[in-house]
Amino acid sequence: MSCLPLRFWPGLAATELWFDWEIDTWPLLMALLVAMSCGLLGAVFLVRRTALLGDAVSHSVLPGIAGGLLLAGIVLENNDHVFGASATMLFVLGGALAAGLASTMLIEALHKYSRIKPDTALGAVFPAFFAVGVILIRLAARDAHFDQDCVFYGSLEVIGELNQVIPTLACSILVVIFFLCFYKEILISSFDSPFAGTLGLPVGLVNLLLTSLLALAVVVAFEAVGAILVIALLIIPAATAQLISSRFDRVLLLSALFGLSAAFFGSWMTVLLEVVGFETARAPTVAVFAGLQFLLALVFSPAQGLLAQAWRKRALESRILEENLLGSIYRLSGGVSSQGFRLKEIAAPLGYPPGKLGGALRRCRARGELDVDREAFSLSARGRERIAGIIRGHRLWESYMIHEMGAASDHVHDAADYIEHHLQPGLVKELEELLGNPNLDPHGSEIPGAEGAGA
Amino acid sequence: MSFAELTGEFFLSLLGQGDAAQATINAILGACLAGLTCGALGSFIILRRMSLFADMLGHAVLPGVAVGFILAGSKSTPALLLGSLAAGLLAAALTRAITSYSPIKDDASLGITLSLFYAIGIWLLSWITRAGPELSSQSSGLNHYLFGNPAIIQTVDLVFLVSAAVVVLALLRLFFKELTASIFDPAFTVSIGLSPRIFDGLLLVLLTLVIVVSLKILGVILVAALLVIPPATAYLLTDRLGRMIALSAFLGALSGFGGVYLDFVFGIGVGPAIVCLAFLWLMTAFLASPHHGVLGRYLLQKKLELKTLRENLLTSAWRIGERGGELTAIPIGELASERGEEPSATRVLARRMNGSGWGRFEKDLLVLNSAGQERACALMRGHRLWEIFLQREASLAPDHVHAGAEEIEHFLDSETLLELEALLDNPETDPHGKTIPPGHSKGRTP
Repeated sequence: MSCLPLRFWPGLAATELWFDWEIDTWPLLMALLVAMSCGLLGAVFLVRRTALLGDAVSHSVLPGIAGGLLLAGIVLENNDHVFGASATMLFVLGGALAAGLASTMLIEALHKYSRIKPDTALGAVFPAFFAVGVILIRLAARDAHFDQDCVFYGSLEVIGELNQVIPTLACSILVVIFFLCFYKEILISSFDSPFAGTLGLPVGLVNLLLTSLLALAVVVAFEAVGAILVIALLIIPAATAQLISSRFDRVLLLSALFGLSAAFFGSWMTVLLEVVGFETARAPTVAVFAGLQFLLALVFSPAQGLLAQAWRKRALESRILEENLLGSIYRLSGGVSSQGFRLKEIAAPLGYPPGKLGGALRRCRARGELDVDREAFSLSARGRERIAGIIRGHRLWESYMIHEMGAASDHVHDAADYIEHHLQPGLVKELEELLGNPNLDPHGSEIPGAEGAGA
Repeated sequence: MSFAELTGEFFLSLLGQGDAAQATINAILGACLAGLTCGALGSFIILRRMSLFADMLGHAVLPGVAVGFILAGSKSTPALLLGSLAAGLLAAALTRAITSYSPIKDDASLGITLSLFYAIGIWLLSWITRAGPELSSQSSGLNHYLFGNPAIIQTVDLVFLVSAAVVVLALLRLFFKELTASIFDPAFTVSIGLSPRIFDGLLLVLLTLVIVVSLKILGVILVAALLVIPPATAYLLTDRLGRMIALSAFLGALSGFGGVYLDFVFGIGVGPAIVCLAFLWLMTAFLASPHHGVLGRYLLQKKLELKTLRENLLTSAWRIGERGGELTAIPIGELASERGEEPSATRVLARRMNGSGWGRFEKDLLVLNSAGQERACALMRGHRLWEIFLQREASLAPDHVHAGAEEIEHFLDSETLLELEALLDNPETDPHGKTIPPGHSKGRTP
């Protein structure tokens, strides 16, 4: 890629690596405000499992925005800037709300009054609205100084004064006030709408306000990040937050935070990239940074991340191997003697190659659960105590399956082998009470004492 | 130029020579081919409930276009196609990975992939347009991949479109049975040893292929529309899959042609024009489709309402006749008191008997002909037999059976009546002690 005119790092002045506040203040503020309100609203729609509503609204308000602009141009004869006059803004807002509402109603009608499925209705109506929007924008661009590219790239760069940020600021303040005033209503109606209704909460009003605020946020975001990139700000920070926490208040807060950080670091990334000669538009960089955060959370999130999942899976597998190892020695020794066995003998009943137990052997020895006499391994008191609880669970489960589920006595071992690693003490206690604390399992083997299980 | 002049010029250019004419012809061929292929494949897509997936894939190929362009250093069609193919498959894999390995649900993961890939694409494009002269001079027209523009269709694009159409149609034909089974009865597909996943994979690959070759005409945002809207239209017009595919392909091609024409005349952009046109067919079918349209079903309902209204008049008349009154010409006053309504209301209803073939409203009388009397008799018979059935077989109290019978009497055909007779052993009186009128069906011996 010879096209990258990389400059030399040592020659850089420190100021080039940081924002130039004279130029960057308003675009950064704009990006932060848009990202925050989109983050908050997006989280609610994601939790409500209507994440694609943002997708929907962002496509379908386009004809409203363009139509509003055209109409404002005719009525006001003032086309200096997209949202220059607040009157134009009102036209655009009204148009966008009308278009958003019309598309929602059309989708509803299509799948309610015909056999078209909801997803197909969604997939048919949005592109159609978008297409109408594109045509109207083309018409608007003919007689107004309207930058068509703004639909795609946004125009954060051209924001140079406070005036241009004011609508966005107002929208963000509205969103925050709405969340502060209606937090309880939003929470309850998001998870249990009928319950919210029985409590007498104004569910319909809250939903209407949410959808209107979404349309409002999409419209003010239109100038900043364009028509489609706003989806990224609505959905990605919210999904990132959901990977970190599953509590509603935290998801809301984290989503807003991830939005803010994407806006800040995305804007900074544009500055840094420019230094190395990689000049990009600001809005898509912010969106890409949000995506980067999402991918990082997907891998590294402590709760749901791929690494955490892999780690938990590995830990479970090691525990199962250890328990199988100890269990095999227990069974070979008949549960009582402290006789030692060689690794090969221990692995054989499990159907494992002896090498598979190496790691488990090392860990159990380190914990003092095994005694070693030359090549022979036997259970120490601590090891016996640990495995007795597992064996107890295994044999109680077998009894349970035969007595309560009517399984044949030669069909229960495999199921018990599987479940023995997952039985919680509480469940073992319930089994004991249900079965009347038996001493022998269905195969006539002794069930180790409850002291062992409880420990 | 006026509308008519432009239309004339458009059709003349189809016959003409030279670059302008060639460009128009290329545009029409390209748009029709894209419409045809998208329409045919789209039928499977909407039935398999992959509409939103197609939408995602349309947006998600954009970074592939950009990367293909950067690597090739020019708008070489094969490079862009390969790039977008890779991006599409990657996006599909990411969507699947997100739903499998995280608590995020399918619709949200579609939204994430869509917006992430689209953002990367726009990000790269924004760099390309600002990059050094050697790249940005080549890049003019790359924006066409956003909205599409068949004016830039060249012979090589047509070759790709034709090949894609052939591949897609051939594979759809070849695996028609298997695809149909996997869509309508996945369990059956598994039982004959085929995995529905294979066919989902096949649809995914074909989908990406079709999207990629159609990009230049429709652009990334609108390409999914042609995969969803014409098949949805066809779905409203026919119940047979084969016909649905043919119709949808035809509508797609028609929209393609119409879109190029509308752009030629009004200059509104081909992609948006195609989508608007396709949506227009959808709305027309939604309103006017004979079986599944709103209008058709409204008329059917009205017809049914009229029939019910007339039949209710007939049964009222029969009840009067039963008490020894006249069944050929019933005074409106008597009919109104039987029905418990104002004579003026009954008069309005009786007027609607005209044209029924059962009788007419005449000189304040409801005059019934023999067909009307027969129908009244059959209705009453069905009504009372049903009452007995409800009482005996459904164990309802005698005073609870009338409402059910009142509704069903309009829908009892002769076959059901025969069954009822046989089941109830030809009773003479109903639960209220009223005589059951004699039937004209073959099952009854007088």
